[in-house]
Amino acid sequence: MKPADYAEGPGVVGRSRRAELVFGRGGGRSALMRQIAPYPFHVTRPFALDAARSDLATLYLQSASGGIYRGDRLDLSLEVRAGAAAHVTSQAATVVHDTGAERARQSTRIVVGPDAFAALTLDPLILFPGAALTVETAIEIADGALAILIDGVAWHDFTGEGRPFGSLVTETTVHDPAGRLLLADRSSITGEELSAASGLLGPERGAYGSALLLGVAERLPDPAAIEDALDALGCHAASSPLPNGAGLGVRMVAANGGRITAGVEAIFAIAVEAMLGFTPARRRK
Amino acid sequence: MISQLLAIWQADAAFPSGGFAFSNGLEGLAAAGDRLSSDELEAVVEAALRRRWATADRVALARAFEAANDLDAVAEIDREVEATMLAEPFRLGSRRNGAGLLAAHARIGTPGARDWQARVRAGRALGHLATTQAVVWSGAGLDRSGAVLASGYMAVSGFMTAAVRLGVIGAIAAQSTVRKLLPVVAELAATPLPGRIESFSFRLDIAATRHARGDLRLFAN
Repeated sequence: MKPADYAEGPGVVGRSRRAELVFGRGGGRSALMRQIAPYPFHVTRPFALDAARSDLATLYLQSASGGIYRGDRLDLSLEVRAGAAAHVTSQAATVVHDTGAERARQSTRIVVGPDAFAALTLDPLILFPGAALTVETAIEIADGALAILIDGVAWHDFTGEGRPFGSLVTETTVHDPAGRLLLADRSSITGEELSAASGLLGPERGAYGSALLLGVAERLPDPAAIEDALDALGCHAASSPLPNGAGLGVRMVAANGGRITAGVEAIFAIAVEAMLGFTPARRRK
Repeated sequence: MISQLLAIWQADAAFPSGGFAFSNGLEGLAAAGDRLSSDELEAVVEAALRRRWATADRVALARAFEAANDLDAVAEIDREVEATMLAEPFRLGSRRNGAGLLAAHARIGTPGARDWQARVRAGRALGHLATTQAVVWSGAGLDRSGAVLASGYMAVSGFMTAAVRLGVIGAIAAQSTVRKLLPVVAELAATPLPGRIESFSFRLDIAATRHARGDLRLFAN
């Protein structure tokens, strides 16, 4: 099936689905205590990929339907309870098809309990011409917890005509358990603005990405090391302390989504090394 | 007529607001080897106006201006400004620029300036530029429309002053670019306020953050 066929596929309009994953610590490992994954969500079983931390559960999340479609409302709730450690990652990039008159929405709520570790690392969204998407991510992080959120955005016209995507509206918030807002990263952008020779990303840049590395300063990587690693991968990036002592933020821009994918992997590896003290195994996809 | 004169007074580079110390990422762009033609410089500044000033600074200023008589409400907006500035050089620069403006107004006795300054000094407010502009400009007698235009003009002139000092553009050519950008400020100032403070500023965020760790810098950000 070609991408153009997906964009016009029948029976995929306006799905409203909610997935839920809850990890808890028990028996020396992080167990998936609750799993709800209705179509189009699909999750693998949790894997223990890291010999240095066999209690770190890694789970692949994928879409069984080939992407996000017109009017979709896809919600994910991820909870990592006290002392547990979980990494949820995407199997591949997520294509967002032409949404026509009905914007699609994707929301994620992440609750990280005391002394827990949660990571959500996502391959870039690939926005097709006419795609309009709202992405909302809300993180609540407890004392002593560590969290990683990394994602990216690219765009592509499969006809080669350079048609822009519609628009992307995003909001990522981080609160402490008392409800205090630590940071809010919000933006609205149109495909036309990014496709045109505007000054937003700079010349020859067709993708971007962000990372939030949340936790106390002594468990965070050196910002310069992140920038050096990303430079080597062709991602022009910068890392700086976040507001309210929330952690470190990373911005990166690159020529294409492939480089952002490599950047996501690199940031995850550097962050895990600083936060948990070992180099994580490559998450094969 | 007086409200327009007051807006011109505050936007005038002769007023000691401290804005001359900030390039808002332009120095980082220049230092990274991004050779900016005058067209590219115009595009960078226009992008910053459209996706940062209009959607973040202007929103915070306008909201705080409406709340200027209630410093608790202004402080809440001030905290939101802090939370939405993810790049540290911009966050610290906004606070420093706010402190500079506030110091000048406290010294000339602008109503409300000393109360806001006392809050900032006591750690009960951060004193970001947009919220401080709201407090002191309201106290100085500007109306909201004049305050927004002064803020927009200062955003443009700040970039262009920095560009001239950095040798990116000549002084006369810079004024040609300012002239081209004034209709953008006017257009954006007239658009309805977004419902939230938001920005998209990857290029300048990256440039300013990388440059902030450099040893040789002309500007604070």
